[in-house]
Amino acid sequence: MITAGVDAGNKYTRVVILKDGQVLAKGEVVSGFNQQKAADDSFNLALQEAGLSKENVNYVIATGAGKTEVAFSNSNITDLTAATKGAKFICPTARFVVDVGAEESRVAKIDKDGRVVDFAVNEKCAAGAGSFVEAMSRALEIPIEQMGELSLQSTKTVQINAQCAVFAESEVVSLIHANTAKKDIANAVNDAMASRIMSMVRRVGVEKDLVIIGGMANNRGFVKSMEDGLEMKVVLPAEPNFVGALGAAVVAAEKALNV
Amino acid sequence: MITSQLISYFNETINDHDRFVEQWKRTSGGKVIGFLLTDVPEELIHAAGFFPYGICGSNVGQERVDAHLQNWACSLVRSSFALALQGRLDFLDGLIIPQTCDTTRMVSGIWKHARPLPLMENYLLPRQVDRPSARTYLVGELTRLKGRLENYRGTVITNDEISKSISLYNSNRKLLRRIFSLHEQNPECISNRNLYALIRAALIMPREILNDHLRQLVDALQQDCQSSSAAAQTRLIISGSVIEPLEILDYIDQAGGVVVGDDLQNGWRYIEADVRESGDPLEALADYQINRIPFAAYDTVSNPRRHFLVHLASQKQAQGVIFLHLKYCETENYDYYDNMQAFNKISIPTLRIETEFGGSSMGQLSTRVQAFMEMVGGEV
Repeated sequence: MITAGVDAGNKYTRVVILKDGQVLAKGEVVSGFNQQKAADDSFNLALQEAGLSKENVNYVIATGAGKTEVAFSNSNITDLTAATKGAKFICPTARFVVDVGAEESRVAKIDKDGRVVDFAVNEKCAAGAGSFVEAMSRALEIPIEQMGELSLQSTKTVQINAQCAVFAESEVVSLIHANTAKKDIANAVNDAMASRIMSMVRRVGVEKDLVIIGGMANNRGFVKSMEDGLEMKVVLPAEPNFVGALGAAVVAAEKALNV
Repeated sequence: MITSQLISYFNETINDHDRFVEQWKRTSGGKVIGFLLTDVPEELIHAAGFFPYGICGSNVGQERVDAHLQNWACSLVRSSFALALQGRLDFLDGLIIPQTCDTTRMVSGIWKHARPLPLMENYLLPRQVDRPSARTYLVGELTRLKGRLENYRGTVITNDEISKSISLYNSNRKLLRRIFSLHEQNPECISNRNLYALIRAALIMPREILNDHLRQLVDALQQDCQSSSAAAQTRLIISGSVIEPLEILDYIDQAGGVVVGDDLQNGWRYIEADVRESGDPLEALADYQINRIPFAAYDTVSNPRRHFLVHLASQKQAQGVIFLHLKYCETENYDYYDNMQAFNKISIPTLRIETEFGGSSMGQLSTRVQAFMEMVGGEV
């Protein structure tokens, strides 16, 4: 059986095609203004890679902010369910999932069968989402991909106290003017980000194994800040950005069996 | 068809409530006494010949409010006061503020100073509802309020007038309870959104007009319900101060949920019981108040709110509970832990959502409700 998951995110639209429990292909495009086109394009990329046509796919499930705009999907699920299903697929012992995307972050506690027991989603604030780190990397004039590596070289603890992304940016600018090293500022940004995510994690009640997914899982500095703060090792998937789409494809496989 | 026309009428009235009241005032020549939520004895205001109008907050800009109130006062009071400062409550002849929390206590003086009205009064609810003296105190407070209303009217309010008003308000609550029960049996017949819109309409419409329309609606709904069958729905309880934003009910509707009970000031709590129609009417009003469903600022020690909520959930076979908390409502936030734990003990999942008048982020709200429904319904 072949199924597909489409994660129509705020920033990227990603597709995973699954065949009998194995990932066949993936597709990724920038979401842009036309969500429907982004979904079509990423689906076509994945189909091309898999050497399939749309007709070969038995069931498609969409998730993410633009999930209702994916015209070719059979149904849709929330980001939270997609994240937990995907994380559980990769790490069967997962009991906690942290998903930090571009515009939203969410944490969920799951039981041994992968069902969500409790969850929290960041409130209307950019300070707990990937865009915050992106804005800070712009202020530091370094590529976002380097924020993690750079922060790991930090030798001095600096604090960012503002709870708001805009005020935090002005704090970063003040640190730059005070000649604080970029690596220490990068570390402070990752610490601040981790602190906001950890407050959600603690509200729900942390459990092992904890899987971090979403774009921020690629930032090793952020992951280290999380591990230090939670005093535990976390599980990182090889491609954390695709876990939402993977989870949607997993649910699609479950649904297809019941059709 | 009749149902949809009536529902549209109620929705248009709540969306355009100031114009509705202004028009009522022009045609009837009556006086409007506003009140802040909740628990003000509307029957007494009505018996004095005035139209009690519940100020339910708004989504209007709050720029003018900052000059008078801190930004950590709750948005229900801030946005209600914003309406007054923008001149959108100029139809009021009076205002009664129930003192139930720090914010309502403090705003009464500020309101009096910034937007004085011919009749401005506080209504002081007992703090220790359990004590035997609470009832005696409340009868005294109702007598004092009655006296103030009599002064403003210029004549005495008779017991007969109060009894007639009580009877009118009881008939209204009965009609709304009937609709609530039809909704509970079959939400296809009347959605969560439309049900709560009716209760909100009850706060801002004269009972005589309201009851007339509600009677027609009950007849129409009874016919609709017979001809449509109820699909399986996830049964939910909502706990909090007020239902805000109303859109949350749309999200519950879309996700296949039915709200079967609440402790909201503008929900089931507003209509769940009647005032006794025999004996001394002021004593009956006091008894009604003493026995009302608890809320964060009006709670008993012997039967605290969490017991009430757990009982309601089991009685209504609820599968999940949504706590709808207004930002900066301290009393709600302090209660939350105990209430949440009480549901944890009986394995009913809960979701806490913090909302703000004019400040809720709809996309996120929708995702959270949908995710909770997936969790409770166990569909995926």
